[in-house]
Amino acid sequence: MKTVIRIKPVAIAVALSAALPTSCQQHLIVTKSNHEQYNIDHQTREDSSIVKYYQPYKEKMQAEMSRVVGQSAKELTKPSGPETLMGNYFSDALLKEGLKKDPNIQFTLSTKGGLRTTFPEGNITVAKVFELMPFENEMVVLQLNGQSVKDLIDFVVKKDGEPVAGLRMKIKNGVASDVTIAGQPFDPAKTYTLLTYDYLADGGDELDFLKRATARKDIGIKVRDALLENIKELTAQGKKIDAQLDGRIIIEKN
Amino acid sequence: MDALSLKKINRRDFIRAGAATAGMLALGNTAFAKDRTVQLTVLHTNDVHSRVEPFPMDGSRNQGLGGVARRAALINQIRREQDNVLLLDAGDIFQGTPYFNLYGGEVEMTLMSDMGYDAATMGNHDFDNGIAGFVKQLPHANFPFLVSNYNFDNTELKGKTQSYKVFKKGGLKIGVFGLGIELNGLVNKKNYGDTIYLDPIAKANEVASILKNDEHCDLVICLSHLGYKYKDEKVSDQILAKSTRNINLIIGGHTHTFMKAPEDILNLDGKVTTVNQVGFAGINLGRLDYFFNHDAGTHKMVSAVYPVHQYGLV
Repeated sequence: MKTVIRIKPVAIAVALSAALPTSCQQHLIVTKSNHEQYNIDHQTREDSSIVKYYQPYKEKMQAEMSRVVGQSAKELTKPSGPETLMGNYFSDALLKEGLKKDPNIQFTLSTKGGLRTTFPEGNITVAKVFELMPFENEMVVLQLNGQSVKDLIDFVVKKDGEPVAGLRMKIKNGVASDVTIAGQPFDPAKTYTLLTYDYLADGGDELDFLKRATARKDIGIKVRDALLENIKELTAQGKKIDAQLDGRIIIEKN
Repeated sequence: MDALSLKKINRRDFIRAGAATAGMLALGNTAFAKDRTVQLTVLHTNDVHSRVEPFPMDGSRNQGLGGVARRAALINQIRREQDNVLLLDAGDIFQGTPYFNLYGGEVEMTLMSDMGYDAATMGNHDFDNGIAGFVKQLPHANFPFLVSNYNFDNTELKGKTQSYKVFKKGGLKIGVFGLGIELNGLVNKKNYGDTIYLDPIAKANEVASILKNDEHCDLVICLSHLGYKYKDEKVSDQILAKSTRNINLIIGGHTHTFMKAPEDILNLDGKVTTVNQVGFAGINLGRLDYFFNHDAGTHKMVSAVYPVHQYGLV
């Protein structure tokens, strides 16, 4: 091994200790270290060349993003609670769009953490839909046996509700009851067809049981594009984006 | 020679050479005493998440913060003041604003190149448009992506990333390598394809040893997207620091942690490994200055921490 020597005193030391193998090199020693952190805010000067670079991208983006695609009949919020207006709108829209591709779909599952914003009453822009679903998730149809559906129900119970459509249940003392799927009482002996998206189908957000699906079909449509399509269709029909709290998940108190 | 025995020999040699060198220190100091301090300035970001412009003034918590044009001006200013600057990013460059959704990362990569980033590692969101989506943006990056614990051999990224890179600044050799987080369960399989995740601790020890003992680096920096710490046993920067040797600094990401100051953790050799992370979205720019002295007599490290939040809150 060749030794590269850059520091004279050390070079002498190594030369004098001739018996030593020469694989060692003296590193420089850190004698002091400082730390600073710059908070970047409105007091920080801007580099105009950077702004100049991204301005055309920004203008094109703003034109696309500020396009109004529909109207929301009311504010769609997502407070903590077993079901929310945003969760219900999102899930119902997903079910409707999914059914266009696969009429066998019976219910949908998303996660609260996956819905990233609320809708105000009134104009809904492309930007709002991007904020709601910024991820590139794509719709996936899964065949689940009774046990996997039971795991799914337990998961919804554990989380005090998740955004669903086609699935209804009551939760009391951490146990689900009166569970129906596509209007029929849940039967653990049956197989069910779930619409979700790839991130969850792959076991994300603790949904490991979805990986035990007996069949999987990737529809190849982004969730965001499905939402945009749903809003576009509502608008074309003269309708508004809307949702109700319809008791699909009820937590019963003692 | 396998890596393990190589490491053992080098450690033993180091101890013996160290003793011999110590005997010569008096000579060294008297014969060559002069102020030969070299300053290295390490600037860093993590989880910028496509935040090109500052957060909009919409009443949200981070309104008005961040922005690449400001960061660029700040970096330029520091470069005017300092000779030896390294600018690094710990991953999750992509995803978070429509700039990514519409342009796929071109804007982010170009801006980082303009700012003169020296290296970055890959975060989980950098896979959001798949391996192909990342490869497509690489021509816009004039800096290397350093990832040592993903094996990309069976993917389009084969040969397009590096395990580590050695930078030479002011006579110093600084070794920088990267570590990525486990992708399974975090990233859609379709997006990472046949990427193989390798144990980050084993890999870190292997690469850091190469940088310290073979490449003779004066400072070893790890760009980590593992995350600062977790409630459970999941591997984190804290666990990494404790379980490794030869790493001086871990620049972290993923958990979007706003650390008030860097954390010094004792590594397997009882030496300090510093961990730092600066939140997300380019709200902060981290800066660590290391002062190296050519006199081997000063075998002590004085770590002074100056949290300079000139502009208020962090």
